[in-house]
Amino acid sequence: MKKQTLENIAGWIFIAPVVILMVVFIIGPAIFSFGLSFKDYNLLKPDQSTWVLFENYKELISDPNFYQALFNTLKYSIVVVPVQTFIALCLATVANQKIRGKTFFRVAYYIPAVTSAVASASMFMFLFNTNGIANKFLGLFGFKAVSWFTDPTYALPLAMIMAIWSTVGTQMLVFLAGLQDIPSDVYEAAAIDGATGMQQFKSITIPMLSEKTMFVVVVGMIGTLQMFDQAFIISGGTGGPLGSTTTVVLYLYNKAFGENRLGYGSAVAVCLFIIIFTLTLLQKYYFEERPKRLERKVV
Amino acid sequence: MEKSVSKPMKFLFYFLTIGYAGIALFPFFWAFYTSLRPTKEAFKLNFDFSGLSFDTYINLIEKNDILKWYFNSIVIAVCVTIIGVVLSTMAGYALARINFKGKNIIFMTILGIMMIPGQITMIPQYMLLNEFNFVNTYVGLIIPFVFNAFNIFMMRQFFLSFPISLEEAAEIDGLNRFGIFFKIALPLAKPAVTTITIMTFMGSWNNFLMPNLLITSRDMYTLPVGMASLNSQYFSFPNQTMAGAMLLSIPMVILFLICQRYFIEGVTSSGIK
Amino acid sequence: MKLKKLLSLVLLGSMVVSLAGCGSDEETSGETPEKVSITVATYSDPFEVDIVTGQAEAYMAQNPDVEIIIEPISGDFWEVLKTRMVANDEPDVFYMDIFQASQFIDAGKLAPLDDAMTEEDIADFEPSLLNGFRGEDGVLYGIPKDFSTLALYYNKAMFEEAGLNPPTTWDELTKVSQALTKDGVVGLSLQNGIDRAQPFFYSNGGSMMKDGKPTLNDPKNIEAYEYWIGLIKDGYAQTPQQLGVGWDGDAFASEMVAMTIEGNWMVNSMIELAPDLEYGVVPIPQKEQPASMQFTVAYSLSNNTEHPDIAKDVIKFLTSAEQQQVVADAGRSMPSRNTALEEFKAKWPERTVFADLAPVASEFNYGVISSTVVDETARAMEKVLLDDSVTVKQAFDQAQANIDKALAQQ
Repeated sequence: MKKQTLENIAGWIFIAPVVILMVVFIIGPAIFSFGLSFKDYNLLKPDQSTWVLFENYKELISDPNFYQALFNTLKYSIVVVPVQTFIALCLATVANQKIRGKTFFRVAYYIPAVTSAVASASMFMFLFNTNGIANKFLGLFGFKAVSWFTDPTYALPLAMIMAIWSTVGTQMLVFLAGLQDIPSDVYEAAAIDGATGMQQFKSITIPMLSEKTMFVVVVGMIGTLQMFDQAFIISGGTGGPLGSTTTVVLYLYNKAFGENRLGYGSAVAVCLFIIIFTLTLLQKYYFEERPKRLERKVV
Repeated sequence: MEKSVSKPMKFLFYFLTIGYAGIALFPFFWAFYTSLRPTKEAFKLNFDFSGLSFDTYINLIEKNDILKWYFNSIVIAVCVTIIGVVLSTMAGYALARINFKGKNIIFMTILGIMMIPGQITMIPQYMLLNEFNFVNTYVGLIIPFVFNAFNIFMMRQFFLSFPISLEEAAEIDGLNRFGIFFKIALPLAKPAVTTITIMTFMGSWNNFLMPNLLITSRDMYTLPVGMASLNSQYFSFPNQTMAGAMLLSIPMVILFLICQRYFIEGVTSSGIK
Repeated sequence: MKLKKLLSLVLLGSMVVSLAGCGSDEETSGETPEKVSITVATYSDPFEVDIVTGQAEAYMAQNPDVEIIIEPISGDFWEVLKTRMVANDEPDVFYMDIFQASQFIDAGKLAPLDDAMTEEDIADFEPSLLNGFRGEDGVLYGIPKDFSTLALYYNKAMFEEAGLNPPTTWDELTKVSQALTKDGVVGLSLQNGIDRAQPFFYSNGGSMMKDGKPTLNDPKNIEAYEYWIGLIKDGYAQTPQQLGVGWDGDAFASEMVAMTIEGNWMVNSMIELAPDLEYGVVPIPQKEQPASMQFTVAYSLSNNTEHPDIAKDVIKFLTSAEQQQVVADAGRSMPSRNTALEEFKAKWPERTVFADLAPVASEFNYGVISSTVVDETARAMEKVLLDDSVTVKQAFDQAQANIDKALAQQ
């Protein structure tokens, strides 16, 4: 047999189980939802649903609440993704050092990832209460006490802090595993050449982690653009104060399950999908295609 | 690294590492502390170390079938993790290393799947699983959750940076794709496999939305669904909620402690050559 | 070789799993064939589930050919119920909150229950409890199992020290709140939402529903809410969020406030939170007429059930005078039958106030778009609270416009 045929067979054997599961359990329901986005579909009256083509989308692009939700979500994502990626990388570097108490640091950094959302929410209530520690600490630097949960200016930043705090642990794991792939003799060679720790980090660690960084950034972006839990906890599901924590998915959820408008909710999901997909393609280009082209130019 | 680091830098390094460890650990301790407080103290946001006891835990365990919830959660998470890790690793390897027809479209589909908000596909998924008679069964709580786009994506990223020269050498030695995967690639991917093992287990352990739909009887409760059943607006008290949260997260901490030993810093490339 | 091993391991694993799955499947559905299974979905907290389980066992003892399967629903009950309805897989009998009922009635998801009630039965229920479960044509779609109402809690020690009596009118409420706001204590804790403010609307002669349509921006409502928000803006009252606590109960139990408006459920919370705190409960201070509001939960029957007659019989049993005694004895929510309510009052004298308020308690129900009304109202009230430049009228008018729009989309 030709080599390509063998490759095709091998590839499909490796991927087949996953593809089958994916088609049955995910693609099917996803197509169903996509279809619903062109329908006026009331959750409680499915047999009275009618095709309305683009009506849902038309309504969506003229709804100021949707734009507010989208704006909040983007703002949230733009802040959270870089910060959490940076912190996760730093933590992984620390947790990969030959330092005393390495296991302690690894466990400590990972623990927020396993702390349940309810527990962390309660703790944030304690810390960010109007009379809480956070305000007292900020007071030392001359900041006025703020009402984090009820002031529209501070509720979203609080959600950002919660998200960064709770997701960094998992991303640290990815980087930690990535660091294992970098052979230590590369560092040794660099050290002999007189490269400082910072230089080594910049010219060895970061480039050699680029595939993992792409994973963390893409997954982080997808996760933040689908943000739901933190907003739900802080606002009790309403997206308040004054809509400042309404995210796209929270908006979608309230439309689909609160107002029973599953068709409209599906249209929101489709729009969100398109936005995330576009942004991911841009990142894939940035991380995978662009370096290849640059390489070719250099050669 | 050591020789080029000055003393103040070292101090700053320790200050930041220990400082962040404090930030990361504090909530966990706060939750534990709250769980030990008597109910009438627990909602107060202060520190008072008198009257701490394990009564809340005893009460929770006595009144609810928590051992059964643990059993269900462990059975489900172990099955999902074993099957899921094997499938994701194979798929990730194929997507990174094998040039087969349809590879790109499959990869883009997997990427795309991560972008669909679960809240919207929940309804058609439930309809489907109901057709399969998966409601309130173990198999229904395992099979649909074995596919995990994030894990496949992650394994692909890991195998992408895997040195291609090794595979070429192995090919010359007469190994086929399967041989290369199991004899060369898999052993080298240990850190990555460890990571997705932890992540898959954690994902299954905390999974709530779909299991909450699929579980209809108390004897099938997983830990998160069981804990949620105890939360109703006015009758849950912080010490009980926190005790529940601790019971939920401690197994994950233990799993992490076991697994983290596989992250050994600085593998030498001489071993690969 | 290794691959084969691995593959067979996976296969074996999934087979074991599917066998285990089948096993548990048989346990639930493979009973002796002539037995009829009726599923009853309840809220999930164990207190509730245990009561219903006991009642179901009593029913099964009398009817050996029926098996009642309790399905407690955790998380968001309504999300789960709606999803299961789309899949035509809903339970035969389920809890129905007065707040949610209209949309299910409107969609034809519930079966009529008029013939499960005799004239005598109907006379035993407070009409306002039944009304929320009637369709536009007057057909009954739910039989109330229990209910709760709102009243004013006050801290006895604080009142005695200041030489004050519990307030009965709005004017007195203002004065008392003002007098008690001192030394770090706030007079009153008010949860800023329709589910606490509504009694003020009705007491002022306003209403939330007219001809089946929500009427939030009724001038009387606006006037009442101006009074409510005035208490907060003057500093005599605070919301739990402003006080930095989870809910009114925490604020009252930790003596941050002298008074609060809450339901009978807070009595049980107080036993746990502050067993030594002496407090009293009186009706909510009034303007033109006494008012409260009620939160009722009923049993409804699915229109999709395979055994409508048996399921109806189960509901009849669960809401019978005898079973209402069980609810009365449990002492959490109040039984919905007047006869059982008398028992409840005798057994729990300190909760009599709540029971006596039933006739003047307006419904927590705003038709098919109840949740939109609550959300929009919450948003409007939040706006008034946080933004001094917005008047109550502006905020309520805006919310009303959104509500009308949502209603048109149904």
